[in-house]
Amino acid sequence: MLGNIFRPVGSVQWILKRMPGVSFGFLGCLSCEDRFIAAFDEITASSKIGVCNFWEIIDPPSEYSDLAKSKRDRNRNLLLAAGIPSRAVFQMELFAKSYEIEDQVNLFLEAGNRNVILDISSFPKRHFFPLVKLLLKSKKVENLIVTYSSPQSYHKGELAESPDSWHHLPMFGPNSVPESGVDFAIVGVGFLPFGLPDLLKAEYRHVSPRLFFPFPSAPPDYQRTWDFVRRIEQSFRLDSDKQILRVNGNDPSDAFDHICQVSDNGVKSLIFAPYGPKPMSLAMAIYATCTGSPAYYTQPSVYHPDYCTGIRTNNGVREVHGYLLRLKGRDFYSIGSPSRYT
Amino acid sequence: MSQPTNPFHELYLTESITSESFVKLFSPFLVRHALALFQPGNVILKGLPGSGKSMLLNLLKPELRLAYAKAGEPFPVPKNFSRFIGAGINLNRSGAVDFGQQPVERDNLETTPLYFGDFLNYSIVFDILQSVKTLSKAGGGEIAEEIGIHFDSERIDNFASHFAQDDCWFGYLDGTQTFEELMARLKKRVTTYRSFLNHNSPSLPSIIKKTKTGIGIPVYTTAQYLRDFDVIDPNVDVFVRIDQYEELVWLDAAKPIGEVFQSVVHRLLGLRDARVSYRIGTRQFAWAEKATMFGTTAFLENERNLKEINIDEVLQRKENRRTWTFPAFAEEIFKRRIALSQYQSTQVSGMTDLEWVFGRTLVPEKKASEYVKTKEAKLRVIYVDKENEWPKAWKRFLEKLAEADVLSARLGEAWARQRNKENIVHRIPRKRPYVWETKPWWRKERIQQALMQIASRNQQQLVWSGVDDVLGLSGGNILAFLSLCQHIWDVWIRDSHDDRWREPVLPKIDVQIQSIGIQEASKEWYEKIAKAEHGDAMRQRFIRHLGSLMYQRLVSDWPMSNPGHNGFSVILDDLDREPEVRKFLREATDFGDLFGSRHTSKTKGEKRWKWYLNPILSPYFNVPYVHTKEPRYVSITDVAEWMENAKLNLESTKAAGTGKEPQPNNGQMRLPLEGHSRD
Repeated sequence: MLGNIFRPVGSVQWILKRMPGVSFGFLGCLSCEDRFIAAFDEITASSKIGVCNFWEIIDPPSEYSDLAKSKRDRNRNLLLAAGIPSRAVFQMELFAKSYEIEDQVNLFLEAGNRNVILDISSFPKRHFFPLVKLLLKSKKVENLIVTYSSPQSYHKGELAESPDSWHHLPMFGPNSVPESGVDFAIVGVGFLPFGLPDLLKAEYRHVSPRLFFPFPSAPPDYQRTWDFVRRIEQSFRLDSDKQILRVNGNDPSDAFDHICQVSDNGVKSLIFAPYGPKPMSLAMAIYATCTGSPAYYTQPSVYHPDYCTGIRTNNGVREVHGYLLRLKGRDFYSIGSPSRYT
Repeated sequence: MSQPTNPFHELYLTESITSESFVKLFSPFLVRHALALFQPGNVILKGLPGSGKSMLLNLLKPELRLAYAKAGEPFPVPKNFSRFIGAGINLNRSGAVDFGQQPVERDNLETTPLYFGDFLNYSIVFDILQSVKTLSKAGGGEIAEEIGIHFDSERIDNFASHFAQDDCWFGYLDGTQTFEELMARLKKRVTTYRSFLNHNSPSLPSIIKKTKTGIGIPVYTTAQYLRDFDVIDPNVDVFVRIDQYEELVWLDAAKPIGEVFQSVVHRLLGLRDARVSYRIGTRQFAWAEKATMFGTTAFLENERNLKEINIDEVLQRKENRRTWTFPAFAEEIFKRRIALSQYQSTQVSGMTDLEWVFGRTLVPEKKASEYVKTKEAKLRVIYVDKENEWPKAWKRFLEKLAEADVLSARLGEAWARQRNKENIVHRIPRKRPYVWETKPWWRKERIQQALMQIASRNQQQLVWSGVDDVLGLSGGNILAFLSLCQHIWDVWIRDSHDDRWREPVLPKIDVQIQSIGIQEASKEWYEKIAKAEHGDAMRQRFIRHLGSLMYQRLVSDWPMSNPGHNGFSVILDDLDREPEVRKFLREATDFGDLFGSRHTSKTKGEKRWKWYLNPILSPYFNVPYVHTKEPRYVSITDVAEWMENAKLNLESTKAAGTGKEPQPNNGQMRLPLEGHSRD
């Protein structure tokens, strides 16, 4: 969506072609998923990568722990085969403290990475939200690209289990005390509401929810997202169709514009519930960083080792999306005046 | 009348509901059981999720006091207990829990609880003063007069300038002249903390580090100054709510900062300063068994430092139905919901709205007839084919009886299968009442199991309906009751045709509709075990395993010798030897998946504890919710095996399940369930 501001969104190759000769530092996530390495592969095919970090996120112990570990070990071997040294892989707990995340990011940036590619494909929101904030806030970062690889398919059963309490994501808590009035709750529609309807109602009953429905979407994903809406509607009466907004699930620029529209360019106060696709959540993370809006989530403790499989292709080309957030120090995503990051 | 609506669409009546709605929907029923909340002294209000804790604690909020005044409704707290200022902090929403995420002094982590305590102090003091201000302004001053608040500008500015100079602030508020200035500076301190905790600023200003306040001291100093400067009368109480205390438990299991933060909260209560009293709402076991106080080796003591109120104990059914208070509470809530809806109360004499809508629960004979409609179905209820030793006459007798009265036939068949009763097959009774019909207790104890078996042998789900079933399945939990009503009403709306709701009369809801609604509610509660906030797939798997096991045992118990095996009982000492099993059972009880209570053992002197499924889960597993006769006596190894079968990854359960030496007690305290009998 062009609107008044051009924000580069497309295949990662399309973006990289326009940044010839730039060497990037790469920050990715070693997970059980096949797509964890897709962006790295695409980028190394055409661009130079300097420092490379993969965070291996460890879930709390569960019945899936052994299977998850064996899958991560398999994927770790792929990294080694690709020439990534083992010292480039850091283990991080799913419920890592926010300062631990910040420390790792600082180490990464201190290694001289001024041009950063953050691959959010396999990062849980609990990690990539703070990562986006820290990278956007850092004046050291001159160019910032976020990448996202679409999976071929999602696991048909339960994708994740045992949600934690309704709590703000690290670094995205309320700023004012007592919490100032909230005008709208922006809910990214995904597969798993995890008690969200009850929590929204209990905590923000007077707040008008806006459901960002990923569109277009193909079955069976389509049914799951509508089921999510149905569950919200069961306990949170949606007044009109205006509360369900069709938003491109792969385009953070589109989602960002919708957010700005709902907030009247930052005039209205928002909270976010990022349950939808990651590119949509990325837009929420950027907006929340700009404005200090809180973002809440019921973080699952356990992800299914088969959460998703494969990498989606389009005419034989793998769908690895690239989103340029900053170019030569200029931010593409801002509300009103640029660089309002606090 | 337009579209029919569901009076139970809104399940929760918590802090976020509009004050006006709260006034109309709130039932004062529980107030008289929790009067300690409105008297000086610290109170721990315990109860399962949805038991009504938040509803009660909301009464301490100034907004609700104002709402009652605005609506012209009497405040539901007795007048002699209503002279108080209520304030508080929500540990989750205020971000207080973030001190574990982002320590202020990385090289000196021991200071973290001090900053946490300082944040609590400033937040609470701000809220107390905000409450005083709110209560003073509203209602043309009537409420202020009623409570004893004097809020003229000269007085409060004088209060603020002196209060700011108190030593408890270590100079941070020096120079403050007015009340508004005081509020702004308190707020700024809290906002500065928030900015740091959100990583918006790299560090805290040194002035904050140098002026950390003592835990709880500014809070009671505030109350003292308010009284000294006559802003409030000397006999006005100050109550402080600590919301989401239990969230501290979840902060980090590996590095238990949550326990340290809890000890800071305990310290507040341990000050035992009559100027301020604290109120904490919590689940039964989220409250520490031995509540240590930060900076000391002392523990909080019940009755000395605090008083406990357990709502579950008030509302859950005791053996004697006459002492069961929940039905009256539920009826009152139901009535209020209907009054606020589009439906008109029927005003039928001698019948409550609840009875009108749901009717009486079907008598067992009627229920049985719901499961079997044809002759073939009736014959399936008795298993006689494989009984080669049974005389043909007895078999024919049972078959004939089944055609006329399936319930009696199933009971008769069971009678013949019981030890020392086998002779009945040779001495076939000639006329009714038959012997098994003349033993009221024997019959009563087995009715539910018999119905379950009749339904099972015909692949039918159990039918649930009527006031008794709805109340029984609620298990004394008001959220469960509202959830059942909500689902039943939803099904009724789905089933309704235009002509049914043209008039706004209260419906009489059909048995089948009720049963479907109850099944849906039960399924939702089962799913919530894993999917709701703090959901746990392990707990859900255990409950699934246990529910299926209970169903299998009850269904395959043809002689109906063990109708109480929808529950199980464990020796307390055994539980002490298996801390992980104990911890797991305790957690399942705390979240309301299981209901636990003390059990009087068959063996004299033996101490036991028994558990049942939360009644609302019974329809999902097709097992009776009524507790009758003895629960199943099991060993700790049995429970450990169930846990293993449910794929729970607990180290000590493996040891118990394999007969290896169990882990030592590690000095763990005895089962905390003791002393909280729900019998």
